[in-house]
Amino acid sequence: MSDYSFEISGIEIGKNRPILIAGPCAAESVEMVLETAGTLKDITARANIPFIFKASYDKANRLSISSSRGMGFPKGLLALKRVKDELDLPVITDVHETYQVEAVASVVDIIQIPAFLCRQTDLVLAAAASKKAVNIKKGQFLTPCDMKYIAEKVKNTGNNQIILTERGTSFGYGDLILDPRSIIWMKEFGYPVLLDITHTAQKTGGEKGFSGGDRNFVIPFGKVGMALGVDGIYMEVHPDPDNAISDKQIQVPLDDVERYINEIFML
Amino acid sequence: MYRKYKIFLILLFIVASVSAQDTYTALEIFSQGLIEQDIYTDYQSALEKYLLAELFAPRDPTIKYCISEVLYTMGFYDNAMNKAIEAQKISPNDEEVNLLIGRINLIKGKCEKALPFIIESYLAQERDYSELMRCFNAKGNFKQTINVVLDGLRKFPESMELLLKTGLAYGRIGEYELAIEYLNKSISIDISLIEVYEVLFSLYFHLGMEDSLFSLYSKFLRVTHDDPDARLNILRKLLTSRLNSQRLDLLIQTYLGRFPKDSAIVLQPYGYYLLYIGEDEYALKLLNRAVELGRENADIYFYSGVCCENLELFDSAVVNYKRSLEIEPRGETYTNLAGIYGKQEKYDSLISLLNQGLEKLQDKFKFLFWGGAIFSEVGLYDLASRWLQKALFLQPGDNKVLFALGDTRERAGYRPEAISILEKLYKLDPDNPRILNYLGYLLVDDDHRIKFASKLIKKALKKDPDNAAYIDSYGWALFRKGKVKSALDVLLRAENIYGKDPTIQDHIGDVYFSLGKVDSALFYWKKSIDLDPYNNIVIEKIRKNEIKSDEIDDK
Repeated sequence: MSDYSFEISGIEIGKNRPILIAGPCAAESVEMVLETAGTLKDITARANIPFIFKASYDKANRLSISSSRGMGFPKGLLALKRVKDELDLPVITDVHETYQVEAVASVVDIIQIPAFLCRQTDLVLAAAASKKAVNIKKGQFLTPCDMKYIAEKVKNTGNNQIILTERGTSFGYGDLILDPRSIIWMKEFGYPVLLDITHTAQKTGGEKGFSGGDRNFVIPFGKVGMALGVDGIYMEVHPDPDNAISDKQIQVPLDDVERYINEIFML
Repeated sequence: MYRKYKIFLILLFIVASVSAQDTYTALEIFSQGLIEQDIYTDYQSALEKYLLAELFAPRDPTIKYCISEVLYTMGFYDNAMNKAIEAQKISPNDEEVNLLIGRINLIKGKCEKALPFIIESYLAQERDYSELMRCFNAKGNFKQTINVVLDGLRKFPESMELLLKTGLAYGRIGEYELAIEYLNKSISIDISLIEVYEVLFSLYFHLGMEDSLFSLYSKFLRVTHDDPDARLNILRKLLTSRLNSQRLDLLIQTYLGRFPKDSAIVLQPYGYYLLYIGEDEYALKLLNRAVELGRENADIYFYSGVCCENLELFDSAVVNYKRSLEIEPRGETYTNLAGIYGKQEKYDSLISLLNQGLEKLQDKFKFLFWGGAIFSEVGLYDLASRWLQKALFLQPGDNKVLFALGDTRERAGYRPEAISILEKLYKLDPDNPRILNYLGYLLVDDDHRIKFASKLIKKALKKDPDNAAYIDSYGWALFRKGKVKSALDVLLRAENIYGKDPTIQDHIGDVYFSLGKVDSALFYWKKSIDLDPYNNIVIEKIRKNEIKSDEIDDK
């Protein structure tokens, strides 16, 4: 159990029961968001796994200028509001600019700091000041030990609702590696630690201007995380990954999610 | 000053009437009236006492003056005027009586009658300035208004009302910076003045002062935390301002998102917001939920109607608009509903609805204009012309109505009449690009004064170079002058900018036809018919030339 466990909409984070954060990489349409969230809600209810829905309303950190960014603000955020209001699910999304934080906080339960922006002090402080829980994704370029300092930025504002998420570490050019020690080191800080099992399977910039990856690693990485006692699994899911606007090669097909979860969470 | 005068009169009464029983009784009752008026501010009791005193002293101007003053304070201006005139007849040079007559005239809007008394006498109360300003405003003399209120502000520098009115008057004469300065001064005295925020919002919108707008909006949200209806009003203004701004989205989202999902207060504005950003289905859902939670009003049904209309749920839109009209008859609801009847070709319902609206609504001019435009849109040109002419009777020379009337006469096939109306408009407003283009186009199309017409179209294009309609007119003018290839280039450019205009497609078809390219002509005429299926002239061109084309194929 983490020293700084907390509760979000009836879900305990950082206690002994691992949670699942899942959803599409990008909110592509209201229908797609509601369909994915509804299916995941049913699957996780059957498996008795605490579930938080994730989607990005704006993919602001795309490699190529021509890459689609999703529904954008405000429509993407409103799609998340519908998930929260109509499906009664807690939601998480990422922010990229300080001025967006207040509006995003009015809808979501957890604000996520993207890995590429985890050292942006103003953004981290703005998210912390919202009094919402903050999930900081570990930068691919960052040593796990340095995450302590980033978490302290949030904690210094009086906000102790902090989650750290491992999402792989840069390995040479265009590749990522999952170093299991990272989870062990970060857990020592006392904050709940999640493992993003889809992004750790990513190959950054490996596919002519967009990210690639290998979905075959997703289940093994999930098992590694569970064996190391992570507080939850973070996984991107899409109803039709081949036609997704991002992360086509690593998002888990919605139809396969139940199998993935059973294999990972049965440990 | 008048208080001293009253005391002096009472003393006079006492001296003059010690031996007269009636006068003594009158004095006694009159004094009680004064106490009721001045000490207890009970105007009804004071009036009763004064009227009783008048029975004992029917020729006394002071009693009559006091009756008139109380009636004026209570808002019975006609009665007050009658009594003041009675007092004036007995004492024609009484300054107080004359000033009171002036004030009564002023409040009744009879500025001409009021001015000699008010201006030549003196302005003693904030209310006098306010009323005098109202008079000047009614006469459209805003500069005079400003002089009056500035004079008032020298005496009453903290008068919120005078500050507000000074700001409004500056706004009317286009002195926006001064308007903003005075309006801001007035809300610094009373931050809860909703109407000032509304005017300031409008000014900021008009001037594109986004930073000031957002800072005012934040302030407004703070002061109206317990007034959801006021917030709704401003929110609606913000949403209809066409201010395409992510900041506006963020601000509205931040405010609305804070409320729990079933907060009846917030469902309605959330619905407006969603409608504004094109999320019609979600908007309708929230507005329906707000109604379920007991928030029923004309607005909510109106906007539900708009959502249904956007979603092409016309029957549901009709139900919602009708409910809105049952609660409050409004012009825009009538016209939206009439628009649906027009689409459904239910012309009897449309006519009966608009007649009903005309009967119920106060602003007849505006409704006649809107109604005329709707009749014209659905092809009921005679009715459209009649309504627009009635509107012109109420406001002769109104540009918008004249333009709509010219357009209606043109659509109805009375081109010379349409041209004559547009020529009249051109004389009234020679720089208006819409008028320049429409008149130019009609003249070109009629092969009439083409040089002059081309000049008008070029002038319109200079003001708005990327307007597809103006480019089309220019292309059509070139075609009429025989410059066919140049005309085609210009018309294709117009199509590239706005391909959904059936006239542009028709013109391109005609140009191709003149070049002998019948297939291309047919292609564009058919595109025109797809956009306007009822254009019989184009239908006929297709019919004739399709036969010809078949004949060619047969050979």
